[in-house]
Amino acid sequence: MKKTLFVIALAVTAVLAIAAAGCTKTVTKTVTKMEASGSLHVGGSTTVLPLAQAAAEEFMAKNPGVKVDVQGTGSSQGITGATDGTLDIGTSSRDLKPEETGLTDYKVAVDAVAIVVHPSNKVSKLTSQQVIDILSGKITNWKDVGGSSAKIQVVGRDEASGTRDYVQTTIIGKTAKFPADALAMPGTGQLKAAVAQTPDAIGYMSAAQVDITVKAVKIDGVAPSQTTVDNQTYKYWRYLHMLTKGSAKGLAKLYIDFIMTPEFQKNTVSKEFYLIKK
Amino acid sequence: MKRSRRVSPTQAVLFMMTLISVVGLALIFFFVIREGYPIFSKVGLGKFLLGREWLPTRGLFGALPLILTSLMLVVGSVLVATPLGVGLAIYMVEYSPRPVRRFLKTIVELLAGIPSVIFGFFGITVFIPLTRHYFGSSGFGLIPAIVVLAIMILPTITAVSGDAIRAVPRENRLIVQALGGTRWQTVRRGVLPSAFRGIITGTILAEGRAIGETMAVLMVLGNAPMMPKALNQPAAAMPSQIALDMAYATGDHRVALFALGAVLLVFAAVLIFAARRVGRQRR
Amino acid sequence: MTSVMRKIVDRMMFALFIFIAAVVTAFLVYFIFYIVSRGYTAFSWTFLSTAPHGIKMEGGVLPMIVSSVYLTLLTLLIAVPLGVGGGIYLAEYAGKGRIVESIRFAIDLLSSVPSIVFGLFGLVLFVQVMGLKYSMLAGALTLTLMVLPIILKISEESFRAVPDAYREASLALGATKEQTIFRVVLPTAIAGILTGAILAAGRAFGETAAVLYTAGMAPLAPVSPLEGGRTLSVHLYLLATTGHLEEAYRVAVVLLVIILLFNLASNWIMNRYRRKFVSEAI
Repeated sequence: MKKTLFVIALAVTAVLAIAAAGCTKTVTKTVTKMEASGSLHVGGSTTVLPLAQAAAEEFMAKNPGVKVDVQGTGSSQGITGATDGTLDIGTSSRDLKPEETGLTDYKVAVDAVAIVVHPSNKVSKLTSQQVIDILSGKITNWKDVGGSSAKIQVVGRDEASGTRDYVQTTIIGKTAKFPADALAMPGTGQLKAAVAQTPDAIGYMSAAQVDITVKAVKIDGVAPSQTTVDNQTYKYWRYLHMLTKGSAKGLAKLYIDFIMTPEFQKNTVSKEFYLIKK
Repeated sequence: MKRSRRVSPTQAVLFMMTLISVVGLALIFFFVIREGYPIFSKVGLGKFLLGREWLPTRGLFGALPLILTSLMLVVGSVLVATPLGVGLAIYMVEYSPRPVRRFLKTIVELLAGIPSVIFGFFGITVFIPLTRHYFGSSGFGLIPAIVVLAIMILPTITAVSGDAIRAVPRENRLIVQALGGTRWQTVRRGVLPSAFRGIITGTILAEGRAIGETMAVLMVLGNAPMMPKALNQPAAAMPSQIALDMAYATGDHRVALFALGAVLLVFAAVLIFAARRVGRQRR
Repeated sequence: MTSVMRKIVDRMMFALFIFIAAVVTAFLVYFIFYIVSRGYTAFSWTFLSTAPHGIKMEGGVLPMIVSSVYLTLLTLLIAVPLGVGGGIYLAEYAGKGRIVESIRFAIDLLSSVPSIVFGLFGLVLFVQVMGLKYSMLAGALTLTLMVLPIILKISEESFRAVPDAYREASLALGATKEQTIFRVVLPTAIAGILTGAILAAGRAFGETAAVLYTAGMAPLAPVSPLEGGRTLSVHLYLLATTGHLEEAYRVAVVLLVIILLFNLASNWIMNRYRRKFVSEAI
C-alpha cells in the first residue's frame, strides 16, 4: 500500500512540476517575442463571443507569443469592463448609451434578428405591429394573424441574451412584457430546436444562423438577408461592437484589425452573422 | 498508555482539519446571506417570498413562482421515484440472488455517478420530444423535469432504504415465516414496519438532492418564471433560475439571486434537520 | 384472505419487484447505448488531442480534458488531506460530546448544500473577494468544500472498520497513539480512503453548476492554477444549449466513459479489500 501512496505522490509532484514549468515558459515567451506578444483580455456580449473566440484562435495561431482570453458575460459587463480597464476590449451587441462615454466603438459585424416559426406554419409574413403584439402577448392565437386556430407559444431567450435585449428594447419596447409562459432557452441552438419541433411556436434568433429546420417570416414583406440588411429594407438588425478605452492601441488594435480583414470576415464572421456594408 | 488530558499537537491539527467543514459551512451561510440580504430589506421578506411576479430587470422580485415550482418538482419526483427506489431496494435485499444483487448494486451506483449535465442533455434529446408528443405544448416544462429528477434521486432512495431494510433483525422475518406467511407478507409485516423510518429518511435526503438540482432542470424546464399552472407547461425553479441569470445579473437583480440562494440553503437545511430527526428516532 | 389469494398476491409482488429492477436496468442500458451510439466518433485520436476551433467550436476537446483533469486533481490535492485528517479525528479522537455532534451536523449540512449555492459562494469569496478571478484555483477551492463531506464520511467509516485488535497490538508493542494511527490504522484503511477519493473525483469531474461561475468557460487549456478553463461538463452544457448536438454527443461520451471508469475503479478497490475490513455498505 505504501508503494501506491508513493506512486500517487510522485504523480502529483510531476503534475505540479509540469504546471510550474509551464508557468515559467509563458513568462519567458512574453519576454523574448517582441513584435506581438503579451496577453489580451476580451469579454462581454454572449452574441459576440463565438466571433471573438474564433478570432482569438486564429490570431494566437498567427502570433505565438500572444494569449487572448475571451469571456461571455453580457454586453453591460463588456462595456463596464472596457471603461474601468479590467478588459482590454469590451464586446457589446447594443449601442452605447449616452452616459457611457470615453470608449471608442469599432463595429465588427451586423446581427440581424429573424422572427422564426415552425416550417409547417401557414403564416409566412407578419407586419411589424403583429410581431410586437405577438411577442408582448396581445395576440395569442395564430388565427388572428392568418394562421390556423392554435395558441401561440413564444420561445425566447434568457435575459443574458443580447438578442432578447434587442427584441425587448427595440422591437416590443421597454415597457412591454413578454407573455408569462414564454420559454427562456439558454442558447440559440436550443431555441432553434424548440421552434423546429413545436408547430405553434414563434421565436427570435440571429438571422444568419437560420437553417431549413425553421422558417424566417417576412417582416412587412421583407425577408432577412445580407442584401435586405444592406439596403435597409429589413428592419431588425444591429451592429456588433468592440469597445476600447480611448482608441485601440497595441495588441488590441492588431486584434481588431485582424477581425476586419476581408479574409476573416468572409471565411469566419459570415458563418454566424451578416457583414458590414462597405 | 497514560491517558493524559493534554492534547497532542497531532490531535490539534486533525481537529482543525475537521473544523474546515464547519468554517466552510459558516462562510457559505455568511456570504450568501450577506449578498442576498439587501433585497429582503428593500422589498421586504414577505413580498419577496410571496410576490407572484419575478421580473428582476423591472424591479419585481416575487419569488413565489420559483419557490412553488421547486416544491412541485420535489414532490413530483419523490412521488415517482419512491415506489421504484424502495421496490428496487426490497428486491435487492429480500429477493435477489447474490450475483443479481451485486449487478443491481453496480447499476444503481453507475446511475448515481452520472453527471447532471448529461441527464439534462438526455432530457433535451429524448424526454422533451416525448413530452411534446404525448402532452402537447412545447415539451419543455414540469413533466420532463420531474422525470429527469426522479431518475437522479432514485439511487439515493434505493441506497438509504436498502440500508434500513438490511438492518431489520432476522427474527422479524422468521416470526412471520413461522406463522406461515408468504414472502411478501414477511416483507410487509416483518420488514417494512421496522424499516419505515429509514425509508422516510431516504426520501427526505432525496428531496434535498431534488430541490438543489440545477443543470438538468435548467435544460428541460423551459425557464418561464410564472406561477406553475399545469404539468405540461413551462416553469422556472430556484436553482436553475440562479444559474441562468447569474451570468449577467447586476445590481438588485444579482442581490435577488443570492437571496434565492439563501432560500435554497434554508430549504436544504430544514430537510437535513428533518432527516436527522427521523433517522435518530429509529435507533 | 384465503391462502390462494395470498399466493397470488405474493406472486404478483414478486413479479412487480422483478419488473422494477428490469426497468431500472433497461433504462441505464438504453441511456448509455443512446449516447454512445450517437457520439462514438469521440473515440478518435484527433478528437481527443486537438482544440476546438472556428466560430462553431468544431473539432476536439483537448483543452476541456486538460481543464477537467487539472481541476479534479487540484481539488483532490486540497480535499483529500483535509478529509482524511478530519476522518482520523472523528474516528480516533472524537468522543460523543456536544461539539463533535455539532461538527457532524455541520458536515451533513455541508453535504446538502445545492451545487449552485456552492457556485454563488465561490463566485463571491474566491473569485471576487480573494481576487482569484475565474481560475482553476477558485474552482478547486469551491469543489473542495463540495466533496469534503464525501471524503470525510468514507474515511471515517473505513477507520472505524479497522479492528480494534490492530490498535491494541500496536499500543502493546509500545507504539504511541500517533504511530498507531499513521503506521497501522491508516495503511489498513487505505482502500476505503481511495474509494472516497475516487467518488469525490467523479463528483468533481462531472460538476457543472459550481464550476461555471468559478473556473469560467474560456476554452483554453490552463497552465497555472490562476488561469481559468472550460471543463468537459461546462463544454457539454454550452454545446447542448447552443445547438451543436453532434459535438455534444461526443463530449457526453467522453464524460460518460471517464465517469464509468471512476466507478469501476472504486468498485474494484472496494471488492478487493471489502472482505478483509469493510462491512458491506450499498
